[in-house]
Amino acid sequence: MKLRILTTLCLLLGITPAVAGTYDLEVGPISLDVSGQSVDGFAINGQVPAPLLRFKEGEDLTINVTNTLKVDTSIHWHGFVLPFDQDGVPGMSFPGIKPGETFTYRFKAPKAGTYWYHSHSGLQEGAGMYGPIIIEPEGREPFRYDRDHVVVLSDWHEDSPMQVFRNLKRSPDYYNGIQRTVGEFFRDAEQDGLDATISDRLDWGEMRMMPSDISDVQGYTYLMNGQNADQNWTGLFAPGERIRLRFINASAMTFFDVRIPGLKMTVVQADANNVRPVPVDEFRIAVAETYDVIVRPREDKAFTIFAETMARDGFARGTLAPREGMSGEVPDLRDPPRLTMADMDHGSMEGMDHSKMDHAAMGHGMGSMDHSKMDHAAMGHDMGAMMSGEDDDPFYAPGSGLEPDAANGGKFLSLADLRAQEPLYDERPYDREIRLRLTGNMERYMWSINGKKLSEAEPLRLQYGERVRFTFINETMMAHPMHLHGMWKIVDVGAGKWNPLKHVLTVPPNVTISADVEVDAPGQWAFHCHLMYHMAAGMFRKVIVEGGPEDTAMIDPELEKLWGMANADAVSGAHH
Amino acid sequence: MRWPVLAAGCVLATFILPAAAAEMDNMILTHVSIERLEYRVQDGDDVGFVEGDLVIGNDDHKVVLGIEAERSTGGGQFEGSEVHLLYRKPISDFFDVQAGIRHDLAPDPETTHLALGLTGLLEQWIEFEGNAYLSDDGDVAFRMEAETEVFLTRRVFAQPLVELDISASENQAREIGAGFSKVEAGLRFHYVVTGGLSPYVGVNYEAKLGETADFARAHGEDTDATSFVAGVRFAY
Repeated sequence: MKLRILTTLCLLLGITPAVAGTYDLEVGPISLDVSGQSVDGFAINGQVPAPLLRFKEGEDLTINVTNTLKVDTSIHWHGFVLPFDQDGVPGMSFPGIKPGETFTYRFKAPKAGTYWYHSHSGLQEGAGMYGPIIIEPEGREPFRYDRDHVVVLSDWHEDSPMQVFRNLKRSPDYYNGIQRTVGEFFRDAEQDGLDATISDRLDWGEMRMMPSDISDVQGYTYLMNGQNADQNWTGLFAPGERIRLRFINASAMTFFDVRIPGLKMTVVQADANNVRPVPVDEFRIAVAETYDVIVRPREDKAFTIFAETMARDGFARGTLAPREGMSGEVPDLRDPPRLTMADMDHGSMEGMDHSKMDHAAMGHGMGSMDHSKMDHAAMGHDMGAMMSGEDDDPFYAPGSGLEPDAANGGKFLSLADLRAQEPLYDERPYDREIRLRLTGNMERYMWSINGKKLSEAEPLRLQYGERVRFTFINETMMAHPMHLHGMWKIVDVGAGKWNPLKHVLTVPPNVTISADVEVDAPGQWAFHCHLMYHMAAGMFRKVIVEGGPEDTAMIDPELEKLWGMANADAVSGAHH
Repeated sequence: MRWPVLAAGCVLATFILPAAAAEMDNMILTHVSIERLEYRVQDGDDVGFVEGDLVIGNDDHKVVLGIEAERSTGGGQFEGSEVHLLYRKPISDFFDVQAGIRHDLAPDPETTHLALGLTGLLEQWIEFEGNAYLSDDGDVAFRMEAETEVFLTRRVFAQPLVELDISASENQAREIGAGFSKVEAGLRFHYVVTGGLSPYVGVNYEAKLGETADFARAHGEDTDATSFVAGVRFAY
């Protein structure tokens, strides 16, 4: 009835209603063989990845999601700015979708860009339930391209996600296939001297940390658009065309270093926000990030899209070719990186003899500084002079073992290179700062924020209309891609109003990064590390935005109860 | 009989305490680990040996049901056989405290002990477990185990381990003397099939010490044995 009145009104006023679309999605079980063994997973419309959804900017969307599984499910629209009750996080935005039920999502398509969608129930996203989304712009884009291809990177394990989680809990190095060996000891001894090598081993042993702890889960089959390296997904081009590649990392746990040997890539968008074009040879894509690059292959030949895992335990591979059935040369995997003492947290380094370590003394000093108060551009320059290379990335601890180098010795994208093409918000000082220490206990596979798991922590409460600065201090030895639902993070790269907007901010070990958030989305939102097993193990917070427009701020009290956390809070609160 | 009741109480408590925290980040998980399932070739009769446990719990509370048994292939007799039921709780980043009971089914006579100990990871990646035992006939004893893993290649690792038993008092019936009573040292080479499955080969040395060795000698038994072992480590 209301709708008819509204339509009539629109017609009377001579306004044509915005485009509207209805989409039907069905979640069901699937058996997939991409590793030589059939493995059960979850699919949307029978596909892994789920079908590409193309919406128009501002389109009124009606998306019916039917659950044919025997368990609850959900779909979260990753990176979308939308009403919180459409965000798809069970127990935070809605009760989830029960078996046999259809849930109808209704919201407006957000601003143009590359996005993705995935389940937010249990560990379903780790077993196939993810897919790409393109929001087409209303107007012109600030860059030109002739055709585009979506490149969804993902990881597929023969062990079920629950089994992986159990194994990690019992033995955190269960899936570490790149442990330091005796052979490596002798190589290091030859290179750095026996004393230095022994003291290095003893230092790590003293901390009970592993320099090989690059990624918790290895042994995945890595996929590009659902195809393994042999299946060789191919995207076509005509020589001379500008090709827009929309990279989406839909992995549960894997960071990729992406390059296309023979082609320069121009980064034009990061996390659905246009950035000033940056030409690069290689870039790192964290779990849940998206990067859009433009390439212009001029020759009539095949180019390999090579996405090597950060731990160098495997790769996803595809081909850009003028015709089907072609393939370019596939590079060898590089040696796995090793964490250095610079990646080690300040607090845990007490009692160690810093004089024995090369980079550590420097890394230590810098790591304890508050990067948030520094101009990163200037800092990058200073440190470049201090350190050996000129191109040190200011968003890694100086001397970090995780800091990447381009395979061809060229330009590797840094967070510091990103500048917003058009700022989304006016520049203004933040009202308050919330400091979040990223914490964990690797031996017990417990992950937390400020030392507390989700089940132990109070929600973070923000006030509608304020601008909050989140400062992330990574005290662990792993990089954490932190994802806040519903609101953009304006990452402080020292560029003032040109600071880029992101939905995922990766915080490397022993690094402090700040990002401002305009609190403009009432309701309750999820805020977590997007490494799936870190999220499951507790590196997660509920964010409640209080105040704001009355109608959307209504939080169903029943919903509050659904999240077990509320109960846990009540219990732990009683002891304080 | 009191102690099994106590143990059952421990188990019950474990499942009642975390009832409020049913979240994924503190869920109750079940793990089975067979640390050593092996065949020992040595002078005299060969021996089969198994050591493993079942752990049920979340990050805060765990119950451990463990077994260690050794059986000679010749006599078909269990040389030693014990089960333990422990409650385990973290006390630091790397260590848990545990308490419960241990029951020895063999050798004769059957004995029940109260157990209290620590288990965890020492610096330099040494896994350590140390327990104190109070038996139902009043004897106090200690057992310490330490082991580590050294990767030779990405798939092959060496696993040295030592185990030392100390008794505070003599027990004629159980043929245990006061002081150091038994030592075991082994070196096993594992091949990693998966993180939860590694077959291995190696050597193992076991010796009775001090007065305990005297008891053995008096019965005409060997006091030590060196064996070649082949076995498998398995976890689920």
